[in-house]
Amino acid sequence: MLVRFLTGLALVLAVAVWGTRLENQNRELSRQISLQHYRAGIARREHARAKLQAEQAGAPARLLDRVAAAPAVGERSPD
Amino acid sequence: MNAPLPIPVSATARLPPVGRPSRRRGMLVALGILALFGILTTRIVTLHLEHGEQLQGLAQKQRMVEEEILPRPGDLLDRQGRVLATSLEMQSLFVAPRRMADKTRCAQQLAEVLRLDPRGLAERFESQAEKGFLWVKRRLSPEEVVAVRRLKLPADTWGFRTEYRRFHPQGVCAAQVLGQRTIDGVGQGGIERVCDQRLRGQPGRRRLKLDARGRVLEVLPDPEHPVRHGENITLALDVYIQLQAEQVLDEVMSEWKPKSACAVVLEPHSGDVLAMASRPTYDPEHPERAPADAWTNRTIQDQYEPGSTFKPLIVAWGLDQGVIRRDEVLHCEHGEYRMGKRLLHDHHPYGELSIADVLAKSSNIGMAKIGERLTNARLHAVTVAAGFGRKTGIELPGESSGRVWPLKQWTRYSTGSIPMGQELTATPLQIANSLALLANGGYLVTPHILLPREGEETRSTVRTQVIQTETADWLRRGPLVDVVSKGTGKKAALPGYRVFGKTGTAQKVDPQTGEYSRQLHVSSFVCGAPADHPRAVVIVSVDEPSVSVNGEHFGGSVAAPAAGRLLKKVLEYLRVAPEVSPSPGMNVAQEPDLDDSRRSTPRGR
Repeated sequence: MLVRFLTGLALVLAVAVWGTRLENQNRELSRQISLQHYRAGIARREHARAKLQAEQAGAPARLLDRVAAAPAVGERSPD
Repeated sequence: MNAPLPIPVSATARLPPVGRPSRRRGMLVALGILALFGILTTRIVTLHLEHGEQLQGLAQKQRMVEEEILPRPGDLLDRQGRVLATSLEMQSLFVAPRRMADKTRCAQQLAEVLRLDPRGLAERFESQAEKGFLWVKRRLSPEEVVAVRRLKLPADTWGFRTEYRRFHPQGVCAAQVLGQRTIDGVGQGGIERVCDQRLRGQPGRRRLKLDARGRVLEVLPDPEHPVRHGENITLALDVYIQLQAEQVLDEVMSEWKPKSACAVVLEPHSGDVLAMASRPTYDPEHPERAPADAWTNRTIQDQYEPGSTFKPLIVAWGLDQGVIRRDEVLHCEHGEYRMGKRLLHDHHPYGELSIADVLAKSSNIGMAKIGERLTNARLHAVTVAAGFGRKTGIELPGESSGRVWPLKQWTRYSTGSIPMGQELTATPLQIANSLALLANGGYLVTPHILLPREGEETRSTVRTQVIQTETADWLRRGPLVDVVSKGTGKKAALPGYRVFGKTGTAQKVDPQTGEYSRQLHVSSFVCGAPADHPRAVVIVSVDEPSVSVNGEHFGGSVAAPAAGRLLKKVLEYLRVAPEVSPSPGMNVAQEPDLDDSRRSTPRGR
């Protein structure tokens, strides 16, 4: 009787512990997904900011005067 | 052996029954527990039935928060993929004055880090003390955001909201074409307005699961309301060509001090607008500093009489209709010609002029004679067929259609006026498009500022043949090249290239007298190159230049040099090889001067 009772109890406990572990794993994965959403948002913002800076740095408006001032390829001296 | 003690029956009968009180107690405890469970169950059932939905909502509200995801507005790109306008996320600060214990102190702290007027901010907080939401400053810099967070103000009295701000990495470039996005993200003017729906996108939703302290545990995207970010729009403009156009206009503005000026560069075969610039202009990063007249896209909104730039179309039509021949010579009556009651004049007294010279010297009398042969009906037909009097269909807001009176309102006066580009008005884009027609084998093509979307093969383009290809080619390679090589457009000549074009000097109506003014002009020059296989058509139009050459404001002096410079840059950029190799110091177009050149002396620059 006692053995049967203890076996049953152990089974119930094992199922509960397994369930809790699954629940924790599930929660951890959800957290990771949420974290990824957050990181993706930051990455998008940073990408947009970096793209803007790159465009500003390479804007023809900034380089126009220098390009105009430089001699054309055919005009350069051979050396 | 010990025998059990004998217990008398009577004594046994008097003893209390063994186990009875404990069973009763047990029963009582059990009943108590049962009653407790009963009460709890009843309470649960009552709560569930009576306040179930309300409580469920409350719990959900505490655990789950629904949040709107702002769509990121699409970027504006040039034809090479360079970014013309893009958006960055910014934080905007709001407060809840009704939850503030000490409004003055809070205002002082915020004003200090945000560089605002502390007294003014405190007054705003006091005057709107009952409000639960009040903007303090929108689109804060990242440093300001950090500074506000460091103040550690009570959490329920303030917050940030994410908003987008438009940036223009190319600087002052095509400001009127691009337009603006307001602080609330609404497109105003230009492409921002026309493509507002495509650029804006669709907001989405997501749910946040919170813990008891309000911290986010999970982010749950709402599959029914996904965010759709704005679409990127690719324009036909090329930033390099656009900047050259802007630079040329700046030079025109400082040299001739006009009221306004504008320039367009067209790719004649596709109708793509490679550049479209107007002066005065404004810095799109600081629209609040823009003067009132800087918002106008003059290339499509200004309209004026095209003047001599209209003449090539009439000559082409005359040839097509067989009323003149290519080798014909017209007598230009030595500068005076009477048409009914009207006396027409040329700038110089010309005798006999070939058809090519009528254009090269821009003879009004020669053109009037062609007009007489064509008659009003045919003049009206070609004017309408070439797109005058109606919008070109370019994808920009506020385009003027120009004005062409109905044929029944035309008089004998019109027969002389229309061939010299009077009695009708047109936008600079319409004039450029009419020359593009001759550069394109006689086909009129709808000009486009947008490139087709990804996956979209064609745009809504109308291609109509107005002039026969042979006529258009002859006119472009012959008489219109002469205009630049030995006629009124000499200052647009380029070494190595055969440039074709036409000058125009339109008199404006004096608003005070209602008659043509001798001082107010629109000087323009429309040209293209190379003459054999045109790659670009350029128009530069200068409204009311205040500096004059010998008291004149001819298109050949004011607009032609600028148009030539712009065309040269465009051809170099497009890697168009020179058609003829120029001998050292020899400009292809520098041929013997004719008497017309005396009118305008070169300006030293």
